[in-house]
Amino acid sequence: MIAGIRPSPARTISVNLLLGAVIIVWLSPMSWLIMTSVDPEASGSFSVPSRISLEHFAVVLSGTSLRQFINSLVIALATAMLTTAVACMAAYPFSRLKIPYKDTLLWSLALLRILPSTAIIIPVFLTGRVLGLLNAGGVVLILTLMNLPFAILLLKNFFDTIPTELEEAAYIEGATLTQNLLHVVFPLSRAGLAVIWFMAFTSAWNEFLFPFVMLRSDQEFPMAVGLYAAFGQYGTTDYGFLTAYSIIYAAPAVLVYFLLKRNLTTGFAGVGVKG
Amino acid sequence: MALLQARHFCKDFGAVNVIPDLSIDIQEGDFTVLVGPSGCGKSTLLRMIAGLEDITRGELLIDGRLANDLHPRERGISMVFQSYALYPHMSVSENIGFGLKLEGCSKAEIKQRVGDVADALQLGELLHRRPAQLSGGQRQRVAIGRAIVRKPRIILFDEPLSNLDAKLRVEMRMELMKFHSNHGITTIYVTHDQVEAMTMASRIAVMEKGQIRQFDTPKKLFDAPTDPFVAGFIGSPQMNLFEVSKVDGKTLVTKEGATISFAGLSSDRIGHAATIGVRPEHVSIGGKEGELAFMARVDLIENLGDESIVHLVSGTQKITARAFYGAECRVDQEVRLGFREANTHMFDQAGQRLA
Ligand SMILES: Nc1ncnc2c1ncn2[C@@H]1O[C@H](COP(=O)(O)OP(=O)(O)OP(=O)(O)O)[C@@H](O)[C@H]1O
Ligand SMILES: [Mg+2]
Repeated sequence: MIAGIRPSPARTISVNLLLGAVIIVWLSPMSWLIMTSVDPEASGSFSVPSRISLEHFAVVLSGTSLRQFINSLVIALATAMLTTAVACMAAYPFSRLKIPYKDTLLWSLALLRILPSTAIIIPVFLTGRVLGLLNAGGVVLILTLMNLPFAILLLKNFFDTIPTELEEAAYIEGATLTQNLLHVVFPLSRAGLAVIWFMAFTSAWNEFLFPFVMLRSDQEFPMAVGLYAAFGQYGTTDYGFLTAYSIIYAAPAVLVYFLLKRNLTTGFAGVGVKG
Repeated sequence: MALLQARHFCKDFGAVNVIPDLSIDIQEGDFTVLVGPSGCGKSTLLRMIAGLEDITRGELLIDGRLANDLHPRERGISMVFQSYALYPHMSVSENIGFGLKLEGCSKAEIKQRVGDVADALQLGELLHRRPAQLSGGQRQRVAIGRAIVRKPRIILFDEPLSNLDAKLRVEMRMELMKFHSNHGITTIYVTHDQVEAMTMASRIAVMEKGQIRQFDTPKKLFDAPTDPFVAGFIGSPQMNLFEVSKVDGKTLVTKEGATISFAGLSSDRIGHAATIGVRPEHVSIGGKEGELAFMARVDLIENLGDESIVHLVSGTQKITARAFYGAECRVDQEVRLGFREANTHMFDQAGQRLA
């Protein structure tokens, strides 16, 4: 690949053209989204706004759509917390105890997640109706259930890498099981816990199907469903509102991505006993 | 009364019995070393004492009080692991102070006591580092600091030096000995290394297959091993052990086919021995009158500078001789070997030492 080191000018130009085309293809929907959202006279066509204003954002951050933003946040946070907490409590014994067929068990649970959600939506809906769980609580529960198998599998593998000697050392120093978990096991699994938390958060934030089927009113919807319901709600489609809504909807995912990235790069304090 | 007494310890892992019946008394202030071949149950015994393994049957008494069901902390025991088991996410001072924090000591007290320990172990400048930023010897010292900060009555070590290189091992060995003589904390120490055992111990327990073969001072173990296993285990190079298959007048034949004559000896004690042991340094090439004598062929000579280890064979019997001057023989030469009766260790059929 000597030629690759010093490309000819013709080659440089064609490569740049190609990259430029890729950028346009990638960025045009993005730029359309942003331009429309700040254009007070947005019409849905691709045009540079004559005036920039944040009024669409202000509309989104009030009334029903604000309510939906909060719903999304509540559902995603609750799912993330519940998934992480339950996964911890389940994964630790799976990692430390001799349970016959434990790997088989875990992998068959993971099958749950591989099934398309659509395939189980009817039993979930019927069960929810019988148990009176056709509300945000029910959505959190089912999303947690869907997340758990992988979360447990991942966390169990993480716990497996923590040498039991560390726990034995803490035990000899007087640590109870709870203290051992809080001071030794969990801090050393920070990266794993972060992955699970964020995975559960984003999947709940992005989830459309379960809240759509299980929730009844505008006031209960999270943003994923709210966006869909807002289409054509006021007779004509309000593109300014919808684009601002989309951007606000997407923002936490992006934020979470950066948080995750920082946590993963600084989170590995090193697990080995010998350091 | 002994500080720690193990009475008729028995340990099963599921259906496998690892320790059948073991008793040992550890005196206050002693440095007790457990040695034995790999898998003989040294770590298991240590972990039973520490409280990391249940005692299947038997009693553990500390200060005369039954301690089987006490939490390790209540036993007044701390332990240093082979891998040190330092908490990677805590600084050195947090590592040392962790046990105190669990006890609910005040911040000021923890700081004070961690500081004292750090001074004693020369860890002063390292207190803010993480274990990953320490050298092997420093980690070792932190592990010791963590073990002593709670002022335990007994410290257990499980092969603490085996991760270090040879030079550091010697240094740490000396540090540990100094530490023990300064603080006098009762210590139980597991090792593979004979030199460690011989130099550090006040008493050594030689274990085999979950049993204690002999529990004695290093000198006694070396000079008067009570059974052939201990005789072969302690000392390097290994003691020569001849298993007698038949005695014919004033000659005896070993199972491996060496013929040893004891014609010049007045005593007939040798005639009763089932196993005769003699250390390589007591086997002389040439031999003198009044010694046990036999012929052997030189197989290999290891020259170590100040001494030579000569490996010989007679029949299929392998013999090792150690000469502190240059060995006066060549490979494949037939030589006469001799050793004095006073230097032999004799054991009867049951493996008991003959007086
Ligand atoms: N948790 C366990 N389950 C089953 N068997 C075990 C367990 N721990 C130890 N053993 C067995 O008990 C025996 C004694 O083990 P132990 O670790 O005490 O030996 P050791 O003398 O410390 O050996 P080494 O010098 O290699 O460390 C071994 O045969 C080992 O296989
Ligand atoms: Mg061991």
